[in-house]
Amino acid sequence: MTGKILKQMWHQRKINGWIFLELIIISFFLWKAMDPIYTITTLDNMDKGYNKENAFAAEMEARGTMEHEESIEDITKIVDGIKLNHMVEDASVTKKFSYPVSTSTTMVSYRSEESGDWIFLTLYSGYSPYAQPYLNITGYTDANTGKTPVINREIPAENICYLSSMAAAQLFPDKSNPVGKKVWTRRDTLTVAGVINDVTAYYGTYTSLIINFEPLPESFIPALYNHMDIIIKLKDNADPDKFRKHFMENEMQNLRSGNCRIAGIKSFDEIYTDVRTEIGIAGQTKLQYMLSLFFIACAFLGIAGTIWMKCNRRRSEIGLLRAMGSTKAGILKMFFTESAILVTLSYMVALIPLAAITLNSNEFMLSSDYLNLTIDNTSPYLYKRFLPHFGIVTILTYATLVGTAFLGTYITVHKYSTQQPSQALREE
Amino acid sequence: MAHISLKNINKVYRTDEIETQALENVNIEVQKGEFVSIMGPSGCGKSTLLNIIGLLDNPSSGEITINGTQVLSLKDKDLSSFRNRNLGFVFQSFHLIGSLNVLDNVELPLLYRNMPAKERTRMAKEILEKVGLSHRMYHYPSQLSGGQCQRVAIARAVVGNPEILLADEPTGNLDSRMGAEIMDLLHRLNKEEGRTIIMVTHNEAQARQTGRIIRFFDGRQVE
Repeated sequence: MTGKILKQMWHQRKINGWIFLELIIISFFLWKAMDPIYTITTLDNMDKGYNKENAFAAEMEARGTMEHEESIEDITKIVDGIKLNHMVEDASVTKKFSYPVSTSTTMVSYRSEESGDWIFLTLYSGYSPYAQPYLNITGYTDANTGKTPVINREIPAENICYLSSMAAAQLFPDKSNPVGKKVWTRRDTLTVAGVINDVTAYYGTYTSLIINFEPLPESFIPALYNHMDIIIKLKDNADPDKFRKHFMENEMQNLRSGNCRIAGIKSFDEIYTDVRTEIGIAGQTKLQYMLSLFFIACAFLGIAGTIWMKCNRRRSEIGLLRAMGSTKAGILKMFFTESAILVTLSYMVALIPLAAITLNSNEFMLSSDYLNLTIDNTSPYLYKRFLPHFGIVTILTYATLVGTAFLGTYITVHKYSTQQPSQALREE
Repeated sequence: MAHISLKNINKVYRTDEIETQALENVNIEVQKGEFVSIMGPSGCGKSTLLNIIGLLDNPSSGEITINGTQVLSLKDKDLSSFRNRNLGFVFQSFHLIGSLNVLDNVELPLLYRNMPAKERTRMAKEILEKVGLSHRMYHYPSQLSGGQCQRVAIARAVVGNPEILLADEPTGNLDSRMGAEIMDLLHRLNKEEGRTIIMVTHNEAQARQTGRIIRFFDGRQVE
């Protein structure tokens, strides 16, 4: 049967040629529309390398003049007060905007023995007494074990740092294990305590991140206090909405010490969403989705329409085949096969320029397989690798193409094959 | 028992506004090996009747028995198989598939019989030989004359060896010489191979050559 179909298609090559050409163009642009949808969706859903669930950041407020110094105990008392809530698992003081969903970033240059050049990395700083809580709350995971890093108490926390996989790859380009090795700023020397899984920023791209811990100052000037934030993690079974309501209505006003008090609280999730909206990523993403979906809808109509017309022209053939003894299912199968052959061949042609463009764009070529980390389908590395990315978008596009072609075929062929053969045979 | 038996066949075409009675209480019996002509003016229901006998259309009411099988109760799969094995069709406008060559067109009914390709080709070639078109088997319908196209259509109708051949004005699109050729072929198939043939025609002379004439007028059998 397939041989007959191919023969028939070849004999109708003039008309099939135009359809083929049209399908190549549609396939090409459909792939291009599918690509951002897949990428954005994947980036949004993949492991971001930190904990976004059940985590909150508390905003602090303090009054005072430049001459007035406040004891750090005022801050630590507030942290201790937060920890008294039965829903709270841990709380930690961090430097301002030094947690995963924070907006501003401090860039500092570092080097190692192996890097040669100074490398600019994003610096997040916690405070050494709160080093372990900081790691517990942020949810960074060790690149090798996948678990929360545990601070080795033999080395003072202010002398250690953690590197994200990408930062480690930059500082140690020979891919040696950096744990225990030194990195330098222009002022300090730090020992690498561990490598954490890459952390994504708002755009879904990785941040070359270094985390260090400073000693808590003994006092601070309230007027300049806004160098600190408090981050909170709830227990696994705690209800975040209930916690927020209870915290804001009953606890917040009591959490004050000296000139410091809590001004408000937001979940990591809210901060993430707000920031994405504020800096325009949410809007851009929506626009991208809408444009892509619009094109997919156009492609759908184009393919379905073309196939519909192609099958519609062969109405009397459908009637004839029924008269010759074909079943309705047999006719559908024949036309499906024909549509699938046309779509597959044209897609294969369209894939050649698509692969060339994708490879040349260098977009997917950043290799981050540092330390031979396990790479599976849920890995955030996925989108950076040509073959898996290209393969998945190719399969998604192909499924859409074939599905659309089948739908166009089904609507027409089903209509005529379920008619009485005499009706389908009647000249139009 | 009659080879083909139609009892109280009615066919009504309905639209929102009009109801047309195409066939009214038709009762026909055709014996095995008979060559029957159906005649009547245009629009009297001849082709509708042929379509109903050929299971290409359903009657609004009535019973059809072919070869002892009550065909109206058959499901799609069985009906398709029954059509394929028992009925051959010849249409006025040939209904050949233009994108397939003569051999492939003739092979078509055999495609639905799970038959090896070689066997299909052998049978198709054999029948083309019989209708005198073995030299045209790799030609396409557009490269053939009307008479040749109709011979291909007849070859296709009989390649699967059905006992019943239904011909709807098989010479309607042909000149008299080609028409005569086609009629000779149909007579041969009837006499030499014993096939039951029911032919719709407007041609009185051709109808007289057949064993029986059934005349229709306004959806009713008048003779």
